[in-house]
Amino acid sequence: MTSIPKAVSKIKNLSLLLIVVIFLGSCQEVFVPDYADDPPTVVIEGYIQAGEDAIPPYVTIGKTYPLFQTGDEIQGPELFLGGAFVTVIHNGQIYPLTEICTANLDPVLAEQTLDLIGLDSLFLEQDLCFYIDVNQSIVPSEGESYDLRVVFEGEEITASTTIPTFVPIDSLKVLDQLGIPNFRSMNAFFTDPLGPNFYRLRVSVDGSPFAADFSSVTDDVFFDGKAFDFPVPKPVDFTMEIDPNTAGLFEVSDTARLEWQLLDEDHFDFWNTIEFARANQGPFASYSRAKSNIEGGIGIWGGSAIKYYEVIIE
Amino acid sequence: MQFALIAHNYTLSGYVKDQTNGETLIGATVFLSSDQGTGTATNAYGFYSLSLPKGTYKVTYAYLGFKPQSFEINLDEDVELDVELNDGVFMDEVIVSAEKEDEKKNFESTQMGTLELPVEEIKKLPALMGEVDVLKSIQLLPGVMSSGEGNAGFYVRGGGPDQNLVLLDEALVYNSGHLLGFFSVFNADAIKNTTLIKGGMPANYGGRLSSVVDVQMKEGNNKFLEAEGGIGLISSRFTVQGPILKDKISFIASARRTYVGDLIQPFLEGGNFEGTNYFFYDLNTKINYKVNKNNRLFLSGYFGRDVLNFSQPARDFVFDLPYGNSTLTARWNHLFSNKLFMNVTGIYNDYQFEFDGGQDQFSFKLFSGVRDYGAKVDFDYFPNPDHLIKVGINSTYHELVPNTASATSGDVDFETDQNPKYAIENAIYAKDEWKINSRLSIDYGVRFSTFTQIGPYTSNIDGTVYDRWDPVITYTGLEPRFSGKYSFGKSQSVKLGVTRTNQYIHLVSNSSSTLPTDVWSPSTERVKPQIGLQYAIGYFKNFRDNMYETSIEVYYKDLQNQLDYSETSVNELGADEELKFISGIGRAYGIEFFLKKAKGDFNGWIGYTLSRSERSFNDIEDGRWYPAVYDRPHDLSVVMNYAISPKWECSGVFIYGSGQSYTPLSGLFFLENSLNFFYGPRNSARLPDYHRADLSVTYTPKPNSDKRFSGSWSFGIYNIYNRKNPFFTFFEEAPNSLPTAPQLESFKITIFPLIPSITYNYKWRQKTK
Repeated sequence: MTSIPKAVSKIKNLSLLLIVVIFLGSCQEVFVPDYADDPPTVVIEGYIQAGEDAIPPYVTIGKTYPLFQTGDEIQGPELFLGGAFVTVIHNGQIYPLTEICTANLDPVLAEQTLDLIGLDSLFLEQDLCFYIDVNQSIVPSEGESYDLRVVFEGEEITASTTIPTFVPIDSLKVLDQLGIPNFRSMNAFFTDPLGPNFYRLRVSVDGSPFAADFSSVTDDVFFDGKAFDFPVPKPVDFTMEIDPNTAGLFEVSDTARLEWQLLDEDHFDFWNTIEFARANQGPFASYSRAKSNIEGGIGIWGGSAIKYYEVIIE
Repeated sequence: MQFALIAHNYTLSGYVKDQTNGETLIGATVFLSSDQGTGTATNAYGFYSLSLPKGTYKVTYAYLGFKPQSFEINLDEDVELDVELNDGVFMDEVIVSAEKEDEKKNFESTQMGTLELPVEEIKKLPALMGEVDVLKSIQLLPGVMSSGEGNAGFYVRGGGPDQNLVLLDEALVYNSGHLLGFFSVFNADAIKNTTLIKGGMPANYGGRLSSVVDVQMKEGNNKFLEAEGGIGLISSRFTVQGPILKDKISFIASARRTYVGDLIQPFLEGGNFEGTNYFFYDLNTKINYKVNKNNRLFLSGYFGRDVLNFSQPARDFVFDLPYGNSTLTARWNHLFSNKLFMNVTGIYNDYQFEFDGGQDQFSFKLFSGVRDYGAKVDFDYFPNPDHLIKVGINSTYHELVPNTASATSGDVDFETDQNPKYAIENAIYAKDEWKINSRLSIDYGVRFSTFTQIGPYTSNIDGTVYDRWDPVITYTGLEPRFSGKYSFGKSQSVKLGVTRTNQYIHLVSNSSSTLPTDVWSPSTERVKPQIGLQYAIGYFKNFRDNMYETSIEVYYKDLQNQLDYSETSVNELGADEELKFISGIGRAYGIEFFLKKAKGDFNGWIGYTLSRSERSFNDIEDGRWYPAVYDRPHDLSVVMNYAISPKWECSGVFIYGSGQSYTPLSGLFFLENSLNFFYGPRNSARLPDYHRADLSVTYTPKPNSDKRFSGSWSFGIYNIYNRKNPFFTFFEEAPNSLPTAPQLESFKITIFPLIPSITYNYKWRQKTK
């Protein structure tokens, strides 16, 4: 039996070597996958919001674009297209949305428009067209349904959404983190009313675009009718190096702005599927298609009841 | 045939065993030396029975790799004879011809698509990180494909991974993989025999559409105490077996545990993840008691767990993720007569997955599992050498727990409204292996199965509430099974088989491989049983005095009520699994070529399969037929063993197969400042072809040592030419892409480069040979 301890000692060292071999040997390489060469599909993004912080109903129109482009110059995708006839229908009343293109706007107004819908100012170099209820003739209300009709390049695209009843966040608390000075966590206290509800929460810090880690939406299957605390993490910038001990924590002096929305089920399904598809590219993941409420294209016509909460981290 | 017509026969019966340790031998042949066509084989418990007219016969007992023995037996009364065979070299001419009888199984056996892999053969093959793996060895056979890089999961003839009936001592193993499936749960040291049935599934098996992997544990050396083990790079194993009461009661206990996670603990100390660890372990135990010549008892069990403990002390964040199987089998063998063998079995099996963690005032728990309680009675009746009749009945109570989540936030508790589902599955079967004449034999039978979903349950169709034991819905299935063989010439045969099977329990995975998180679901009001009908025909021939075995098999499978998740499914915890499923049909067809060199210092095999596996679902692209994720048109395996000398032995494996099918992107769309994926037709693209070569060398310093302690070294290299097979691919936004014209880059991840391994194996015996 004397050879067993020797074997153990030898193999222990080799085991550690094996870990190194696997970590170093497993690698990431650029890979050009096969792709399906399908014709472009029309993409609709439109929102209608109720609430004191709501922005007027608006719609943008784009198209899907190829995964890889060939040629010397990369062509920008077809986004924010003009030339469509867009209407919102509520209780049989038809409300046409006005096409506004940035090329025709005063530069300051154009920048404000982009800022309002969270677009990078680099887009100002392009002529972007939006369809907006500029006269605010529509008064979005909780519990009401709103149909969308778009006629674009001779095709009719339709959708329907409902604005649900708003449920507020009761309170927000900023908490110290033991052993991690200058960093704070945030908790929200909230009471979910009985019955199905669908929520969306995104966070902006110091004016950054609203974002959420992995998933911004949830239904209340897990907490129907309960009052409870839940954590509000600071969105992680995955393009930067992540410190696991401070990821998700706010820094002292951060200004956090929470965008809190109540969605209807179709609106929830859309973000739920699209965010699942974004987050599930892992080793064993299969694909998931976006569950869109747009007939004749893809995208979302989303109604919501909305409110923003601002917290300065101290 | 002539024997059946004679009024009175006498019966020769008994057990065939391994002389060295007393283990019974399964499938050993017992036949007349003068007429090799007259004979039988031992059953799963090593029992045989051969009824012949009064007379004196020279009877030969043979088992591949063992020295056959012949006895002159005066059969003027019933004779009971237990025979012990010894492995080793033999010179006797008669005996050599006896071994040939066993070598003819390839073309002589009636059963199609049935392959046995002796553990000793499996142990010689190169293995990932030196971990000998029964299920990965099965993947080297034609018609069997790996579910992914380094994965022990497998697809058989275009069927899904849930369509394989994996049995350990008759207990069903619901999850056969450790570490996300990279290693199988079967510890080779505890295993006696592994049989794969991919074609004509006999009527005594059921409940799955594609295949049977029947793994039998050793019974334990009943002659002397013996210990063996191995020390490998990621795990060690230890087995002890021996008699408690010589030739009466014996036991075996075998354990395995990984320790890579333990080895890296010093490097985690003081770091962000101090206390994080991962390991898996198995424990196999078995005890058998020979009560008397007509009664034997067996009690065997398996317990295995994967455990991941995650810890991030600075954030007070911890979670534990344990999962694994437990099985317990109690069996009673009883001989009513020397022609009628009965086995009564009680089975318990359980698979549990748990995810349990918390941070600050929040805690959460996720649980899923499946638990069965089963009983079965099987009879083997040996009326004469031309018939072996098997009948049996079995019943299983299933309890299936879907993903059940609970959490606590301060004083508030949360729970999903998911209840277990219950069902009772019964089956009765009868089959007969009939040697019609020296050339023609058939194995025909029928299985009648029933499956009743029972309460408590609330209907997802009309809201009806069912109380405990109330029947919700009953499905029945008549499952005829047929295999036939016609031999001609000196060593060739044609075989055909038709098999209908029903499957009532389903595992639908939203991933490209099965995961421990995947949930087994029963057939319900909404979920219909899967039904499979397989036709197969094959040509079998041995060459050069059975040195070479060849076969060509063609099959076609028609699959009904196949299940998948809808294309917009997002694995939500709150929803009932059965509401997420969509149902469709499938077909799989292919041709398998097999060439084996069975004897000599240089031996091995080449297997090649050309096949397709397709599915059609009304809810996916209006029923377009598309390649299943199990579709691998080309699959080649080359396995070689070479005994260089008694001290040195080497093995090599080469695998080449079509890449996995996947659903490609057809474009991107920009929405809410982010890029999003727009997918094209399902599974219309394919990853690059998979190929790899592995090598292993075994060094036994003292091969013929008489000492009690002996050892050997096994060296291996996995993926010897460092092929970078993609494990998965993903997209990332290109670093230089502008927000106004976002572009993606695609990457592939390779996880198993060239990996060397070394294992030290040792054995200690109370007595030498």
